[in-house]
Amino acid sequence: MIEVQQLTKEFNLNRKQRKESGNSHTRKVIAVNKVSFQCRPGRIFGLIGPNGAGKTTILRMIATMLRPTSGTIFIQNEDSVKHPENVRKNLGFLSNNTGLYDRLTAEEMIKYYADLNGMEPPKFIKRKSELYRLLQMEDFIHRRIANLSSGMKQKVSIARTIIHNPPVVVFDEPTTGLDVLSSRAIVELILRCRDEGKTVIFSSHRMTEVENLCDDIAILHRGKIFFHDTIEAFKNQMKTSTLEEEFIRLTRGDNR
Amino acid sequence: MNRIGIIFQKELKDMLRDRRTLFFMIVFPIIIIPLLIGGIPKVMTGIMKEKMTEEISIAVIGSEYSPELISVISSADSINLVFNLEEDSLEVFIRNKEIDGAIKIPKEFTDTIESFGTAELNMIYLSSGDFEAVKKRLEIAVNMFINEKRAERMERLGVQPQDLEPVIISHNNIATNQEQIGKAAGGWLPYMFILYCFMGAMYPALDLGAGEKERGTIETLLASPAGRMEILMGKFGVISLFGFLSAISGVLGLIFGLQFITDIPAEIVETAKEIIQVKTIALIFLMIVPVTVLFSAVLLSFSFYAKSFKEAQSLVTPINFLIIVPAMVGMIPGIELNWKTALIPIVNISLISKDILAGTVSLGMLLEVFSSMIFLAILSLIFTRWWFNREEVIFRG
Repeated sequence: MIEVQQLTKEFNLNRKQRKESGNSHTRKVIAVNKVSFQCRPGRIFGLIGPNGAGKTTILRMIATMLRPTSGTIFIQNEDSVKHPENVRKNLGFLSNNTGLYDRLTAEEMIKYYADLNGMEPPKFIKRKSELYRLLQMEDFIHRRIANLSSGMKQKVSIARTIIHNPPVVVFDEPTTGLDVLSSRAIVELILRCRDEGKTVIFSSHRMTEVENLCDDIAILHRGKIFFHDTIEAFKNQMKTSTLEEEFIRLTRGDNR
Repeated sequence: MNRIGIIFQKELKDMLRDRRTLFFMIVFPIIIIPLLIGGIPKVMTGIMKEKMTEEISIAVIGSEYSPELISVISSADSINLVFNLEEDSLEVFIRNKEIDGAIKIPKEFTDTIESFGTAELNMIYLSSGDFEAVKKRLEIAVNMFINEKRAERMERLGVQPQDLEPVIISHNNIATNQEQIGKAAGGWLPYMFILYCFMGAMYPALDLGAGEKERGTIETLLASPAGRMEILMGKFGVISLFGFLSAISGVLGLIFGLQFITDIPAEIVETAKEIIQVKTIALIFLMIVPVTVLFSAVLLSFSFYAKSFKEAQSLVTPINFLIIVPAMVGMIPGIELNWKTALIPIVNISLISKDILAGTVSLGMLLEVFSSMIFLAILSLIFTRWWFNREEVIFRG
């Protein structure tokens, strides 16, 4: 379970950014502005918005990489600001530009994250064989990552994300820039996580993906949420014929 | 195992598998320094020897004015005299390497010498960046003639050689051999290990900071249960280890290299053996520790700030100069370790290493240098920790 209340994040602008913004007196920019939402277990929550809407910032705050300026995030009833380490133990994180360590083997990479998550050896052995079978990884687990194909690397990334069986999984634009097969692997992972009763939050700007996967959505624009409900509720209030057109209509400000 | 240990182990494995880095950081100094120390002087001595014994042709203008000088020069080994060249064409012949040099004997040469005057002898040669072998060989040959003439004059004047020496100075340098050699050659050792320590820490620092950002692995690491301090310490440990090992490789390379120099007098070899003792080496290694910590912390801070490996490289390259200049201070004669210089980072390490080798180091200085460096090292580590916790640094963009 993820509960976000009145979440705000401000960033200080450096001199170059102030110049670029056109207003040299603006020292701060509000990336996320009083955002509240809830993601429930066994459901997929989609954070939707154009580039620069604040999706990555919210997900990074959930993963405790960034500290909120104000507001609260509770993950599995743990306060992310007060107990970030406990929060991270319950979390799996995957983004589209997530990399791997080329000089490690696939298994070493996965074990590294199991160790960081404090997994006991018997638990790790059981879990890894489950994942290797599920993702059909047995043939290449002892090969160096540098020598793997992009599809194989994708599988390593997935196994790395969920090796410790976290109750909450965060995906930051996980399919951006991937080919059809790799995207499919990620979509299957997201669905599997949901079926296992995990809380899944993911960000995207691909509306077909959102339509196929999400149970609940929040539409984010310029740091603010202006729609937050189930996907059905969204479809019911649509004024255009497709989800994509509706999203464009909303983000262009026709509804405000 | 705690998380610092897990991260340390993983980063170490990662770096050890990078054979290129391993070679340049650890193996290279052990091979290259002995080659530099032993090989280059050997090659130079060989070339010099060849130049001093090879056949050379020397043109003589005015040979008829001093047959005596001609006979002395022609008695020297491997000098062939050429008599039939025009004075105006000498330079061209020398430049074209058809002859190696020339001497011009003036008409009044013999008369001037006989009448107790000072005659001029003109030597022509082409010398630029070589060993000046032609000049030296001609001088040796002509000096034989000059010495003969000097002896003749003294005999004619009834003067004994000792009559021309009103004072003879006797020297008594109370510095031991260890002091002399330690101070003279001691500047090289700290220069080597300071430089190697920096270079050894540099690649791992760039790879484990900026490299991690570039690969996109930093986000997942930060989202793992590992705390910032644990990540920092794990990485820092590996970087320091590489800096330290590289510095030690530099020192070992230097010691190893000394074995290759064959033409050192036995006395100096004995002194070198006295210098290279467990105690001396242990003290030098002890001094490397805070230097390594300082370098690792500084390098890691820059590396975390950079967005890419390339940017990190361009950020740390200028630091090289900040290190080289103070590291070279040990090689400048006359700069001594005192309570002031003991507080200047790197300079103090450079100077105290020289004193350690010379066996003249005092416990007070040792403590001052070590504690000031430890203080600086801790300060740099605290800074790196604060720096690594800043969102603007890790997610700079």
